[in-house]
Amino acid sequence: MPAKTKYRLAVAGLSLGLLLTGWVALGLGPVTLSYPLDPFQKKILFGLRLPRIILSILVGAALAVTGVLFQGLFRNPLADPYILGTSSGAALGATLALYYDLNFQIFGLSARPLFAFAGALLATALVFSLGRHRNYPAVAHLLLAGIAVSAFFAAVTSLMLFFRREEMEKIVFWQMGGFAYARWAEVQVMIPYLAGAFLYSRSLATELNLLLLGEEKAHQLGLAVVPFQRRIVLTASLLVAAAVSVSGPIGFVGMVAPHMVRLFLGPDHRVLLPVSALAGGLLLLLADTLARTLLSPVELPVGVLTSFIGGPFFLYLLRKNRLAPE
Amino acid sequence: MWRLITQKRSRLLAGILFCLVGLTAGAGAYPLQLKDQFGRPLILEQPPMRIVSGSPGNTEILFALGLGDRIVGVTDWCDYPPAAREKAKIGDLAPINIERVLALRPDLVLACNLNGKEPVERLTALGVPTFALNPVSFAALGEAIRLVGALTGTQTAAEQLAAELEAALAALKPPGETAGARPKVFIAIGNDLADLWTAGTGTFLDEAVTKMGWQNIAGGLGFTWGQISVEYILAENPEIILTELDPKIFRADPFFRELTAVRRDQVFQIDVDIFSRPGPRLINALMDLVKLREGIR
Amino acid sequence: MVDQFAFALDVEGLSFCYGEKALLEEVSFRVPVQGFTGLIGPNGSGKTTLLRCLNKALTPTRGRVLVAGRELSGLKVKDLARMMGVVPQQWEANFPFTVEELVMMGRFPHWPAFGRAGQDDRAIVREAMLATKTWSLAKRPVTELSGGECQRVLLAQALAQTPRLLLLDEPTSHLDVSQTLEICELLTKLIREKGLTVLAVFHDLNLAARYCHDLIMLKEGKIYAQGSPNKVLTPENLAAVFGVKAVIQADPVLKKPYLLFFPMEERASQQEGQESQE
Repeated sequence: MPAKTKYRLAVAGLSLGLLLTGWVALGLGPVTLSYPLDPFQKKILFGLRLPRIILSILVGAALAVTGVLFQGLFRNPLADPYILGTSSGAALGATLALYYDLNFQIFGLSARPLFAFAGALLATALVFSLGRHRNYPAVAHLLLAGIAVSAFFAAVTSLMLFFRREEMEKIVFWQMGGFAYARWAEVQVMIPYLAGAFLYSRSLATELNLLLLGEEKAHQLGLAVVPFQRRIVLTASLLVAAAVSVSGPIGFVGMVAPHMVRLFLGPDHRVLLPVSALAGGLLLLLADTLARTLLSPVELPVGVLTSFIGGPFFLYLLRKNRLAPE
Repeated sequence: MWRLITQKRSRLLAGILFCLVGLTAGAGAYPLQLKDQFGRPLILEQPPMRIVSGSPGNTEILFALGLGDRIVGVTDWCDYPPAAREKAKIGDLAPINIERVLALRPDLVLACNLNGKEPVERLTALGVPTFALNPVSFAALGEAIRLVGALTGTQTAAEQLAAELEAALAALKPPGETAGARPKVFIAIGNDLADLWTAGTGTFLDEAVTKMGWQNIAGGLGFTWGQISVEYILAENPEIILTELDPKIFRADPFFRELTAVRRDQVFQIDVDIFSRPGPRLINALMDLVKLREGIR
Repeated sequence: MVDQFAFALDVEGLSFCYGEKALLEEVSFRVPVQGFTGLIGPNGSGKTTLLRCLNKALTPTRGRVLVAGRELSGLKVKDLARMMGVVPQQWEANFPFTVEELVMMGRFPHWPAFGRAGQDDRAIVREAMLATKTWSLAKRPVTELSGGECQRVLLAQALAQTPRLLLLDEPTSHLDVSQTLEICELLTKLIREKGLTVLAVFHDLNLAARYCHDLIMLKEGKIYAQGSPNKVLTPENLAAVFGVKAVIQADPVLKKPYLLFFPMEERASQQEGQESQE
């Protein structure tokens, strides 16, 4: 099958999957719907379920795109969105909001997501300024700085929790991630922000392909490598910081969605970026729908579900791919 | 809040008073043999004078029985009463740090279910007199208090404390039997509506509200502490909310403010931490719940 | 003006230090337009470092480089890639792009921001692949290529950049005899017909002698000799730079020098042995 046909099929299939899953998910929940909808049912449907569905798709897409960007930057398919310390920064921010019991609102967002966002950006900024190096390999420095800053932020968080042990469970709950109470305010802030970031990352696709050939080869082909790497880090950090601030650090999606797409469609970022976004969105929508319906009305941590469905499927793909003759 | 604290103080004073009585009354009963709440026998030759407490709840019981001076070690989590903070620390509840316990040369380790069965067995095997409490319900807590009293020769104080607990429990019972009209209650824990969690069956909070004739909407869902969907909370429409959060937050939220509990102004702040440690402070917490009920329509 | 464009590459007083260590010292040379210059020297003599200085992968500590009359330091990386193609000695493919996709990436420096491949680009890529005999590999993933195939694909990619100047780091190290000759003939043809200029590192001195117009011989970061193959490849120079005894003959067909090498010590002892037998 020609690459272009495959790409179109993937986009069409995943879009259809998103619509269908979204439609089904709208109808699932502890409140049974009956037509015509009464005002309460309408409120549940459009006030709770719909924003939650949209938000999980948006966050899944953001995580997958971040995964693609970092995997491209590090030329390593195992890189995940939190590789530069974002999640530990966000956790510190969320813990600070918890510690000082902050409860204000900006743009309809409460203190915790805002603090998580600020913490995530602070961590990445720190990693980036520490990881700067004039010579090659700058990327290795970045990776090491990421590990160091992550550990440091995690230690500060632990220290704060040590003095307020009774708050520990709360941050543990936050760190499991989820969309328990997704609101339109978050969707409204996220949509323009993420749309901008998605479009911008799509424009980096050609250069990302060059970067996959190695920094030296990319340079020989006319890519100003270091400024470009800086742009990736900035874009990816803004994306993942937003994602982690609304839903907590959700694992697996960002690493695995791009990887699955790569297995089917190859390494071309012009294809990988949009298709991964769709796949990440679908994966997280599926996971969150299961999280809220499997043991309804109990909410399962969505991060557990992403690994639960993503893990076996991913293994199946890897196995099939290894056995299949090219 | 201040009222709560002064009450706690007076409780403590009372505890100290009764312990003096208890000490004299229980003297001479040694050697004694008792079964702990894991069903394991323990023989004590003489009153324990160097006690290590394995949980914040145990520490509070010991202090309430006037045994504060005999405590030589507590866990890192033991922060009440303030004098507990001055004691030597043995670390976390689980896994219990056996070496640090041994270093304190205790003649009694008052363990609990949270320490895990295996470390308790190991301490016993090492020749340390170890007595485990398993206060998973109010009834078990009363029994635990009496057992500690018997063990330390403070039976009178223990009896008094346990009786107070039972009196508070009795007070929980709804005055008139109003069959069928069980108000629904939602226990909201956390500091943000975005990820609230709640207490289910098997927690003191659930037992207390059930005893009050209320119906915990998170009861019987298969978890002790967990998260339930906002949709479900809205659908259940609880008449009462017990929470750590500022009630203002519920009034400001477009969904929660529709709840009967919020519209009737029946969102009450409680100290969840007290309900998560089986200790004598539960008595006051229960009495506060009883007082709450007066304001409920 | 004429003078500026007479040289595709004009290097003056180039030095490169890494910390205290000077890897290149006062290197000066010129490569004329349509020239084929060979860079020779033992391992560690600074050949690859020199190439990396010329393509801006390294910034020289001192000295000046003009590429087609323009200051290298003032050129943007993308502008440079339109003028200069580089074929590395070693390159490992980690991601399974197809050969065609890989060669198409050579067109990158010609695209504006947010640009994409057009009809012209496809024609140029096809031409580059036909010239390097890689057209038949077009749909193969680059991860499955042999060393020789990979080397030819990289040359095709560099040609797709439509550069005026080509830098090659041992372009034939993984090729067999016939492929080696084919590539060298192709370069000669491109120089003659397309006005290309080539600067290439050679390990095979006979190959260098046969195809290059000029040779630059490096020793410990300095130019030991430069000029025509006849002038550079002398027994004295080869002994001093490579530490070998060389016998130089004339290639009967091409009238170029042809070298036979012997180890310094061994040959001496062999001769002694023969003498004593006599």
